[in-house]
Amino acid sequence: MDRQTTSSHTCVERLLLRNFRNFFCGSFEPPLRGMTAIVGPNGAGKTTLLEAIYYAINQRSFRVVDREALIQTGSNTAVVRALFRCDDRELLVETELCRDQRSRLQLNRQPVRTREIRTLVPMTIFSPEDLMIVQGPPAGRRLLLDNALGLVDVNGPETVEVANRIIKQRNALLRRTGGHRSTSLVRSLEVWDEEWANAGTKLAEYREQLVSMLEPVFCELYSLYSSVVPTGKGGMSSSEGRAGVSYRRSWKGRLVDALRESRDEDIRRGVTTCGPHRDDLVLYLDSREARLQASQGEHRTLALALRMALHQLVIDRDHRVPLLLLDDLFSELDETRARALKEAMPVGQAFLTTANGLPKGVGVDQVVDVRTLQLAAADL
Amino acid sequence: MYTASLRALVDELGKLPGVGPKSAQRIAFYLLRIPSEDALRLAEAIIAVKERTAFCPRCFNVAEVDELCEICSDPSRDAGTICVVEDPRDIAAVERTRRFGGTYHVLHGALNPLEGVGPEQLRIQELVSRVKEDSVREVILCTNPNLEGEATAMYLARLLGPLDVRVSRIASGLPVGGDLEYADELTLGRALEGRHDV
Ligand SMILES: [Zn+2]
Repeated sequence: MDRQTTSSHTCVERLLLRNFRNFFCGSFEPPLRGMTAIVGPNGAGKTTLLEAIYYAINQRSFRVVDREALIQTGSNTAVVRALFRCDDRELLVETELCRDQRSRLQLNRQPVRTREIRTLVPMTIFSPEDLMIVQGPPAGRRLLLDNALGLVDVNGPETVEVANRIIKQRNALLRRTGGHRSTSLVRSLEVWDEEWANAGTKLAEYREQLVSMLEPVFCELYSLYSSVVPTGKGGMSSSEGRAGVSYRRSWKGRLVDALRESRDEDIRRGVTTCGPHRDDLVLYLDSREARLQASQGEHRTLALALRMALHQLVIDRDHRVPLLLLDDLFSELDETRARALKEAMPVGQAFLTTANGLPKGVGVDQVVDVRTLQLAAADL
Repeated sequence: MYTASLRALVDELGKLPGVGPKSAQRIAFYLLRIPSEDALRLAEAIIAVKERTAFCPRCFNVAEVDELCEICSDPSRDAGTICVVEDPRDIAAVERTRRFGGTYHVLHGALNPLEGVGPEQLRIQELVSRVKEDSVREVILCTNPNLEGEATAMYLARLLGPLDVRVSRIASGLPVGGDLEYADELTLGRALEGRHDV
């Protein structure tokens, strides 16, 4: 049986924005299945629409902006209301961003934590900012893995939270000592060492399991995308184009031993120098570390393959098809390649923005001009 | 628009845990409205608790000033078993089980370097003295099942390990009377990890 038919797909049924960026008031009822292309002139708010959907699920933007910028100038609050359908449940997410107070978040009219919405509403995004996954510091790559550890084990997300808290506690203890070693410090440190060794090892193991699940899908998708996307200069790639991925631990042997060895240094520097918070997800192209070389186009394709590999894992493991947000997917692609890339995208509900109109021949299920979604005050 | 005394009351009420500015106003106006004797009873209760209540010199539970707490002064309680808790309110919770006939020790917190709480800020030294001086056979570590509570239990287990005393930690598991189907995955995960032979 086709796996798509056994999976239930996540979709947005209705979206309402008020004073969110440049939307005075907008509402959107997209088709529940298939790809919707959002078009319109620059600055009309194509990406804002994706940003609003992303915001309802994550309570932050995928663009690097301060929160205030999400609220329309001259207004004190912005509202995003999204009705999702996942696993045959209707989930009404209402969020209100305020300039001076904490934001409010409700799920089906009840207060809720962001993490819960993220688990309930699976979503995949690919945007120009994702170049940073490949080019940026390891923290971004670790976060990408940590947000997906639920695929490995139900305790995955909890392990991430606990590990983050332990490292904060251990670092606070080290900072307070001001570099002085004492018996009472060592006695306290031993407790946090044991906590960190347990949670840290578990965290690294979960990440390693995720990477080994990810690897074959990632490699396959990279070669699929790179066959349709020009990756090198002038459309020709100089490399063979075989991608790889591995998890690199920053310590050797048992974490508890490594911690004991680095204890003096940790005390002197007032910070934990050893553990999974220093690990990295390394991406390769033809067996060489991609971050240090490869073209911008190759980096972009690696990031896309990584995002879509995680997307595929959710489909395979959770039997749920995440909502798909593709911001400026066809950037710098000619019509033939844009068409091929679109055909390679999985089925479900997807939203796509394009900067310069939809490339000719790219078949989507609906084209929406973002300007038609803005309601005039008189319509209210 | 407020008088000085009303503003002072609102300010003081606003410092209470879980009371925001809006609730502080509501409570203040409620107190203004009720009969004087009702308000006085509240004021007297606050004064009395501050004047007459202190912490038990042995276990640091709440007690009358200069006296042992109700549990420490009860001769039927087994002083050879100590249940270590973070907060006096936890004693009430354990007491409700009617399963424990020993005595308690209140740490008044848990290890939390982020908030500046180390072993010196807790009643840990006093616990060690009790274990050494009284003939204590067992210490049950009943701190909260969260990170800080676990770390505190681990610290105490290491500290008391060399002494001639049995140290145990409460198990965490599934709520009784519920369906396995509805147990949250964290609790179920922990219960699986803490499984035992039957
Ligand atoms: Zn007492």
